[in-house]
Amino acid sequence: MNKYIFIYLLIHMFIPKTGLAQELVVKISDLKNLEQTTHKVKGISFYEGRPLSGRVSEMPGQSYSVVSPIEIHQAQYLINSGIQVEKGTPFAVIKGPEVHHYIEQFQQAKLIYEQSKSLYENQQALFKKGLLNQDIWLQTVQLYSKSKLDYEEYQHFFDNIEPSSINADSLIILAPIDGYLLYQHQERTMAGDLLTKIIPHDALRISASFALNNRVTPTALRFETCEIAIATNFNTDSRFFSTLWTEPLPDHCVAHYGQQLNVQPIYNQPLFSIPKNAVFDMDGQYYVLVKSEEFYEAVEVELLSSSSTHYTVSTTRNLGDFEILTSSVSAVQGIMMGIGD
Amino acid sequence: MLERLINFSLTQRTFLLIMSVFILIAGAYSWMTLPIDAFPDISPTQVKIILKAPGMTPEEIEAQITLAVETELLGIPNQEILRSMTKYAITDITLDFTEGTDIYWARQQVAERLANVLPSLPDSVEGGIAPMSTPLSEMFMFSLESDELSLTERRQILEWEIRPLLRSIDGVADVNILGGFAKTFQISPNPVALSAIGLSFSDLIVKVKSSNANGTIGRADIGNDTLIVRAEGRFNSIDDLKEMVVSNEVGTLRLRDVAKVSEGHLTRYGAVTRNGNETAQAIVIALKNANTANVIEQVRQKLASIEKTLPEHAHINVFYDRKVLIDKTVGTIKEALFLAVILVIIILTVFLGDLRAAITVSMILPFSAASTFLLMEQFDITANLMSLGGLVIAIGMLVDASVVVVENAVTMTQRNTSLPKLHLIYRACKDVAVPVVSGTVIVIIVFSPLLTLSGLEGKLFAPVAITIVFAMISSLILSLTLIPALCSLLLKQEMKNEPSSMRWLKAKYEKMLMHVFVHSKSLMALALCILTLSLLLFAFLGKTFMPSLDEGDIIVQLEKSPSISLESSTKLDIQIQEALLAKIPEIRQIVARVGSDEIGLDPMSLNETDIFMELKEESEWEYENKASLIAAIRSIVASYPGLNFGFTQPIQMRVSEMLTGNTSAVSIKVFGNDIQVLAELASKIKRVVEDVKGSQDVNTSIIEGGRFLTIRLHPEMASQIGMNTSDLSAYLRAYLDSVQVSTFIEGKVKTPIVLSRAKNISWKPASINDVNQMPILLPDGQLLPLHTIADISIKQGPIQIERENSNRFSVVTSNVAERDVVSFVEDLQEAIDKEIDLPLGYLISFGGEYESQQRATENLLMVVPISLLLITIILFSTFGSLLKAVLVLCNIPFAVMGGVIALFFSGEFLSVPASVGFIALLGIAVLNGVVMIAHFEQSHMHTRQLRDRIIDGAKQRLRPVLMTALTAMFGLAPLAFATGPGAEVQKPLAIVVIGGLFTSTFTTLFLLPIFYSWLEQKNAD
Repeated sequence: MNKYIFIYLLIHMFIPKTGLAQELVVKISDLKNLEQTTHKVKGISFYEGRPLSGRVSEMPGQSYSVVSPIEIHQAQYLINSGIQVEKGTPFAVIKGPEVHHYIEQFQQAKLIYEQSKSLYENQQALFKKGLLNQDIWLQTVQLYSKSKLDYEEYQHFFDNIEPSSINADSLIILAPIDGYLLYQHQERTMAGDLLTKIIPHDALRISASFALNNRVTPTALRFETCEIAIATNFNTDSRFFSTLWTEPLPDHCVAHYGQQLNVQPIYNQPLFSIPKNAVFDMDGQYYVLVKSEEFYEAVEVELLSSSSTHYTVSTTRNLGDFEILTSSVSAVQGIMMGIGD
Repeated sequence: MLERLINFSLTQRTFLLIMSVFILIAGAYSWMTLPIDAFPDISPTQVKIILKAPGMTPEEIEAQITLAVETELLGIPNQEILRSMTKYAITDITLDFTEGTDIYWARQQVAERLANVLPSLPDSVEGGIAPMSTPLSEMFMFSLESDELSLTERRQILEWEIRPLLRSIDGVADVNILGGFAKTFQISPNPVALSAIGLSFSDLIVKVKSSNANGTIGRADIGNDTLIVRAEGRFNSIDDLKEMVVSNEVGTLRLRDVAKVSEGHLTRYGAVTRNGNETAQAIVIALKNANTANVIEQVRQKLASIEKTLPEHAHINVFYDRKVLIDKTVGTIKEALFLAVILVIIILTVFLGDLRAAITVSMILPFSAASTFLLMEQFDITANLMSLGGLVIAIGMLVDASVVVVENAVTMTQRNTSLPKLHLIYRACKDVAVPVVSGTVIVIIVFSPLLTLSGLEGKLFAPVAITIVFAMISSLILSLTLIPALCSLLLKQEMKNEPSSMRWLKAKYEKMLMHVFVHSKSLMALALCILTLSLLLFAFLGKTFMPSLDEGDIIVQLEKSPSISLESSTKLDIQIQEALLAKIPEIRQIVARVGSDEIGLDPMSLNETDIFMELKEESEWEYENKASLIAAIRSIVASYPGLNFGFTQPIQMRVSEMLTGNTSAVSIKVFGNDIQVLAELASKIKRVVEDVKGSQDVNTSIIEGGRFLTIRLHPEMASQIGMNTSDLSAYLRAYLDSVQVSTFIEGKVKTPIVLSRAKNISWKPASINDVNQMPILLPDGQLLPLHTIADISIKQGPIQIERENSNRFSVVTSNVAERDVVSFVEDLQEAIDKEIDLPLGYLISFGGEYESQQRATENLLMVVPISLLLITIILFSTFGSLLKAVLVLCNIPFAVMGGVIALFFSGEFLSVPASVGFIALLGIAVLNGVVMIAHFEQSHMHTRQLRDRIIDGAKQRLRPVLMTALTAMFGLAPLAFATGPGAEVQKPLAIVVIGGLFTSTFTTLFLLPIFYSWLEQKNAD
């Protein structure tokens, strides 16, 4: 063991310090017949973290809600929930006595509006000429405004109704925007209940919970062959997590709304990828053995993540293109511990 | 009484001969049925408890399990020593009972105590009393080789096809399977999926358990018939498991929807490699007291029949067969026995000058041997290296009694032809009956100290002494029964002179004796000088316990870095194996085992490997001998630094472990409480040992260096999320190891169904950061990273804790090369006293061979003087004079002198076998002295001058003295020159007796007459 301490001291005396927490060296000749396979370390610009639980959902505040204005006895959806629709596509037929009443109400509102508009236009001319009493004019304006509002309220709904269906007991509802149709079948739909939600294409994203105490935030999430950049990071009211939101799902990424996914966070950081069998433990720190001409030098590394064969490590020293020992590492560890002296 | 016996033998010759033939046949049958082994059963009555506690550190196990069990066991009577070895997840507790304790009683006592304490141990503890085997029970080892079968398939065949068949053999305690992969059906749950349906881990376990069960319902009467009604739910295939419904709340969800179900394997705690490739092996363990040779024979036959049914290209590769060693050692002894018999017959023929007389005397050998085998069988003594060795030692002495009887009968019948032959033979036998009996009793007394030896030496040498005693008693009885009868049938009654060679010898002896009488003082001075020289040589004699038996095979034990993984450990083993196979062509094959066995009989850690080397026949070696071969192997292993290593042999390893818990010649145990202090002291002592000349393979067991990742659930979080430590442990165990939830039964094959991480489909934590990030599925189906609910830290602790009689200890071991063990330990003690300051409460003890040697020496030093006293009493009653008794005893130092000189120049050490040699020498020396002095005393009444009387008497006794000495010497010569396995154990004994007989015979023939003359002259004055 003493010879290693001597070498250690020599190195520290004559080689400028690199800021390593700890250095240990073993002469290559001291390894005698031990098999010495080395691996050239490669720097990497990113690494994959441990999988997170992800979900395909809409970014808050970006979906469009179609609400029923009346009680509906029968709602027959023409398109399945989760399917992408274009604006104007018929997606549901609503039926029932209230529908008929509602059409009548709409037509009445339209009639009242048209008549009050006509009255308004006529009396406006008279009023301008000073031929109409101001009180009467005021009543006409009020009537017109009210009927207009009433009518427009119906009109907004009927804008998304297939025009040809308006004369019957049923109405065919059209998609107001492009997007994913999302609804739930209900036994009975009351006035004010949601008929469907339409999620615009760019609102459908992957969200994942991410532990608040992580030092580094991922730059993208990956599932299968799909990698999507992180758009935003919401700090929700969770005690442990924030929520990562990706950019909108690209077309080639096949995922359904609400789908649970195992997603891998991608971190952009200059690091090193090293084989697992190169790493060993000494006094609670992890090291790799970096080869120089005559020595193997133990360099401390921090293990950030792992795959089945490799670790992603960070270190204070640039290990890029250095050869590190990948065989007989435990024996060298034994030498450093004084085993077999 | 003796007269009546002789009379009966001569009058009832036909009956006696028929009886003798019957004994011969019965003896031959006994020989064929005697249990045969290489060694006697040297194990004490020993009961071993193996308890496994998954996930517990050595310190935890020691505190919660080992201590509790030890305390409970301490109350059992008749216990001698209580040892324990605690490692990660396992503790082995061994209880040795005093000699003679019934093993079944001992096991019952231990079982009762264990049953008392088991309920108070942690729930996860499993195990119990180990099979009723001994450390030497590992008698047959083989691996299953195939290029086409996977390691899992090989293990399955060993476990479920071969093991049950071998266990059915009478005498097989168990079959230990090592290496390969133990197949499982593996459920790898997807925590995200489980979370989505709100199913917790425990829910899943309960669902699998409850689904995989058949239920008994009862009977239903239908008309006049009864049907047994039962519910069936057990899985019939892996598909049944996959299709198990786990939830119906949001549509039917099956197990395959929330988990990957696949074939996997249990986490491995050990591996086996053969010639650089992984394999699976089985060790057949014999029951205590089983007939090893017979059991092995049956195992061989069973394996031969099994091999025919194995898949194509698969074969059984036997790499250790104790029967080979048994055959070799017993063969060595049988060969020595055969040669001894031939040589003794030649000596008899030459000295008696009468072939009929020689044949008559020689007949004592087969009949005595047959009687001895009969007695061995009756007293449950196995035929082994030691017991058969005893017979070889006895060969020379066996003929003594019959030589005396036949020689006297020949003399009588040749001198007197007028009286009837039967009468002459009766008189001849009657005359010598008393000296023959007293001589035999002296020999029996001489060997009695061996019966008092305790411990290993007692187990080894008691069979030697008992066999000799049996042989001597048989010889005595036959000499006074069968031999007189044979004399009456075979000897011719005719006047005949002594052979000319004998007459020539006597003339020369007379001349030399007269010359000696003239220069008696010079001769005495010379003898004393040699005696003094031998005393000096004795001081320089190395002392050791006993030479090690060459078992043929070699084991190299490796110890690596304590935190090494199984994969890295195996790779290092393979490197060394490949180097050894490439450079040492003498190695037939190498089978290396790393880590623990399945049963836990030898719970090695992942950093420990036993490399087992089967060697080719010695005729194929390039190396001169085994020592040079071992040196070559040592240099290769030493070229792989960073490892501790030591050399041993299969039986030697187990014997050493049995005696001291470790495998070297010398062990230095440091007792104390603090693990760190113990480790430091062991390290310091190791350095001291390395500096002592002769130390080799110095190792200290690595007890420190264990690193444990400790996960402690936050108490407030635990209560909030409804998860306890036990739930968390089960969950994490499924990630890192496996949790058995049920069993899949397919015929005789039982495959565990486990929750575990499936390779390639989920990740396994490979760093502390990974552990921190592990998603934990909470009982409410929520997922949280581990670090949010628990503190994770690394703690250091011991990797193993050894205890003896409830005291912790660390141990330093060393083999001893090129010097004797005793002087090595003496130097070591001195060095340790000088250089090691022991803290208060710490003490050192020396064990291993040294301990056995010291105990044997102490025992012999106490008992041999008592034997000498008994012999003195017999001599006193024979001669009626204490001085004459002392005169006979004077022969002893001169006999010992020859033994010491022979031992010194042969390079052998003073060992227990050598001590047995000295004991045998003592008997022969006293016997020769008795023969000589008794004759002088018988001629006492003659009126001739003293010197003439002594010279005449000595001449008369020349033939029996030389015959006694030469039969003993030539009887042992084959052992002294034997080279086969087993010979090394008896060689020191043979060398001592042969060397001692040279000087003893000289003393008997030349010095005793002088001493007697001086004594008689003094008496006359």
